Amino acid sequence: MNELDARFVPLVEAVASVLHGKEESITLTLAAFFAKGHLLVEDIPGVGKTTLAKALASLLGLAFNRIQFTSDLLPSDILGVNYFNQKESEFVFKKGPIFTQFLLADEINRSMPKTQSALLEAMEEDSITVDGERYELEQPFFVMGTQNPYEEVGTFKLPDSQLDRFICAMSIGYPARDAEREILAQKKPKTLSPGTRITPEEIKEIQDGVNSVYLSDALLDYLQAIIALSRNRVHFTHGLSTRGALALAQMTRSWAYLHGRDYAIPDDATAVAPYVCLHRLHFKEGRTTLERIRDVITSNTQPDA
Amino acid sequence: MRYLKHLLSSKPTPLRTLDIAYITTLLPLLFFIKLPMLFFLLLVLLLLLIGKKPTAVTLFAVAMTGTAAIFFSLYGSFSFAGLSRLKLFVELMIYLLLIAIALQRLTKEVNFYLKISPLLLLATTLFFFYSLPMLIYVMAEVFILITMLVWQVMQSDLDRSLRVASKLYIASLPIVILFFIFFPRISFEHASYGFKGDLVHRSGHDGLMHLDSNALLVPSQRIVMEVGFKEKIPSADHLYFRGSVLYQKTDRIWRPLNASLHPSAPDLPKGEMTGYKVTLYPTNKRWIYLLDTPLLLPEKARMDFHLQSTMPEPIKETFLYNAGSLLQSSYRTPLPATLEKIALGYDHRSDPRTQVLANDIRSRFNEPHQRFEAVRSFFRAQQLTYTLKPGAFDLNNSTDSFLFDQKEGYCVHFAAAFATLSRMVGIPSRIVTGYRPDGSDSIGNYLIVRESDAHAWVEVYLDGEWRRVESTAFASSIESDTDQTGGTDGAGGEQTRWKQLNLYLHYIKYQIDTWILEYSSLSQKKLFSYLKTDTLFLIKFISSFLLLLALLILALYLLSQSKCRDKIQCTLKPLLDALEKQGLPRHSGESLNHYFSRIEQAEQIPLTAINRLYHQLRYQKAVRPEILRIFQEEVRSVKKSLK
Repeated sequence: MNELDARFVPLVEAVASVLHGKEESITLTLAAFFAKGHLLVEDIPGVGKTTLAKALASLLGLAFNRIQFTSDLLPSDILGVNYFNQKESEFVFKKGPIFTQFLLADEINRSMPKTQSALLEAMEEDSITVDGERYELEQPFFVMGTQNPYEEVGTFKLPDSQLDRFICAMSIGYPARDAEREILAQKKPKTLSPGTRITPEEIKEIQDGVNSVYLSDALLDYLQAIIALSRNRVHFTHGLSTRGALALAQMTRSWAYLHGRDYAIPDDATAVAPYVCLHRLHFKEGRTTLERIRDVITSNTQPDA
Repeated sequence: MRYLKHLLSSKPTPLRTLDIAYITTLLPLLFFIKLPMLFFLLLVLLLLLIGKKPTAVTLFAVAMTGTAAIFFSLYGSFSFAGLSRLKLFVELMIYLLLIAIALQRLTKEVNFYLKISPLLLLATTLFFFYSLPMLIYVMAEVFILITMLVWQVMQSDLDRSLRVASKLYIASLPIVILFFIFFPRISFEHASYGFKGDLVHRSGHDGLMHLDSNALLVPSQRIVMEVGFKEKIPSADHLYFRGSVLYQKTDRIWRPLNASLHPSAPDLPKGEMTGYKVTLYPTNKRWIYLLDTPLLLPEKARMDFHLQSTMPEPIKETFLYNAGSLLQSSYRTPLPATLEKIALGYDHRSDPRTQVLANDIRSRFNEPHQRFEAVRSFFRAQQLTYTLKPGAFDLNNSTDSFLFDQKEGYCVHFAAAFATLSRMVGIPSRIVTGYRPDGSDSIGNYLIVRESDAHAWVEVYLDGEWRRVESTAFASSIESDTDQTGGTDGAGGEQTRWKQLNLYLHYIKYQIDTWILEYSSLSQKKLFSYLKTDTLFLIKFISSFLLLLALLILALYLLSQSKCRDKIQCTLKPLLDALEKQGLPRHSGESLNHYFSRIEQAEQIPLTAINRLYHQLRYQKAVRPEILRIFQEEVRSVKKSLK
């Protein structure tokens, strides 16, 4: 019941072979992907974000693109431009890097708000509009946005309303001591054995499966208890929005599915809730961390009551 | 019915709960309030049913109608000075309250006055009723009011409000009992706090004996006194509680002698004395009642030559006294000449036929004994009937009328006739009134004397001693007008058991009557004096209070046990309790999945199956019904293995 479903184990193990000791982060990324959401990674550079993204993209057989956000990046640099083809004497749309399936948007808080919102709108709509022309994005479409939480200079902080569009947030963090020793010991970085582990048809099936995971009344009670807790203004400045609540439910479903169940249990919700809340809630005092959120939830709600 | 269902199922609105409270509190008052006021209430009800919001004119009209209703209800009985009488005061208060409520309710605005008035109505109800059904009703009423209050405050479904209300109700009971003991009921008869009481005539015995239709006040079941004997209750032929002694008949009324004539008691022989303790309820008379022949009197009481015992002041409060008597039906004493003359006196102008009879007896017999025997045999031969409802007498010749025409009557007539005839034949005689319980109204050593036990008998002076003659014993037949449920001997054990049960129920009712319904400041005094003097009673009292307390706590505990609504949780609970007892508690906020996994890893208790089944049952969409059964069995087997 707490174990990962057998069909996902090789996937996680394969990624873990290049990203040592980060099984939970990998599983969470998968959960966000199968929940048809987008993931925000708040971390310092060089802890394996790109490695994780690349490995997952290749294992899931997805087209991968990466955009490094800079302060002079323009929306057209992401979406694409209409240019005049002199040979054909007409405007032709040149697709930008967003036309992919797995997009790593690195350091999104470095670009101007205008550029940020171009990306975030695309994430929300699964389509883009350039010069009045609408272009559908290929499915599945998954964005892994990253931002560096410690650098303040020359960044444009994303407003909460924009952050809300990421289904959940996480930080990979430093590897554990043993895992790091292993990394240090190896002569050259391991490479992933090529070949997809999951076909596009399977992805579709899994995503549908996630949507049909059953949330019983008892579980909804528990979810609502968490949501109510976030909103009671005792711990946090403001509570989860309805979109946030939906994100919690969807992540709970996805987590349950990854663990081989067609119904969710409170532990699923407890597992994903801190990640769903991390970028949405702010403690009245002190930094907002996963551990603090987890503490507040477990000490103020009672599952299986 | 549908309206009622709707009323109870939906969330409470303030007006709805108030209406329920009003209906419950008004119901008992309807028996009491006078007709004009009832009409007024009906009018208000009609206005409410019409349902329009009333204009100021309507409200004014209602207020005027209400005032008129009060005027007519109290017409004739009202005076401002009379307001110091509690009953009138309370009545007026109720009427004013009703009008105030009606006006407030018509405006359909909920305010403080409207909320507090059901309680006021309840409080006024408490003044009026002294019956067991009403006691039960009031208890239910209090419960309903609490429920309504809780329902209104909690805004939850009725079921939960009922639970909370019952808890509150039970928790408050000990306090209520203590309050009840220390703050007794205020009755209209013994009003306190500056109010005057309506003193009622408690005892049928007024020291005189009327031969006319006033002779017997309605023989009510009111208790005159309670007598506790030190030992067993004496047999019925000794239970003569002596009141007044009557010598003279004037204006159809037998009267006692002037008190100053023979003030000192005669010398009485000593003997084995029967001791008893009497609780005499207020009679507003000076008589106290003692068994024949009284020896030991309460303090301050005085006994005169005729063995009449009196107190210096009329008895206005419950009077507790110890007394002792020699159980005998005659006593020896000289008869002074003046007294003998009175004891032989009769009206020569009335009862000619009896006089003829007396002359006949006197001429035939010389010896007082023979004459006495002749009188007795005459009475026996007359075939007299004892009845509480005799026909009309010729009051000028009442003895003639009784002995020769009607031939029926009750103790008064028997005694009067016997005394008259005895005097006519030359035997000094007098009438004694008092109480003669038949001994059936008793439990153990405890005897209850009621108004219906009032009695009159004759004493004749023969051989230098006063002898008691039970004149009603000459009745050849008794016409009973009370249902004698005494079974025939052949009816077998069931009937006696039924009789016993009946007696027991009567006893319970009697105790409730005395200690709850009629618990007044007088009963309070009595209770406290018992508590002070009787250690056993004190112990019993305290231990029964403690027992009650324990029962209430048990009831509270049972109520607070959450009702098993969820089969899964209820199945699991014993297992969780057992695990906790083994020192494996579940952390707060910990999910069962986490808990079970933790325990299984740490303690090697096989919980995987239970964990899986539990989560299937609780969180899976459609669960096969047998899963619950498997789950229950699994929990049971694991729980067994824990031991």
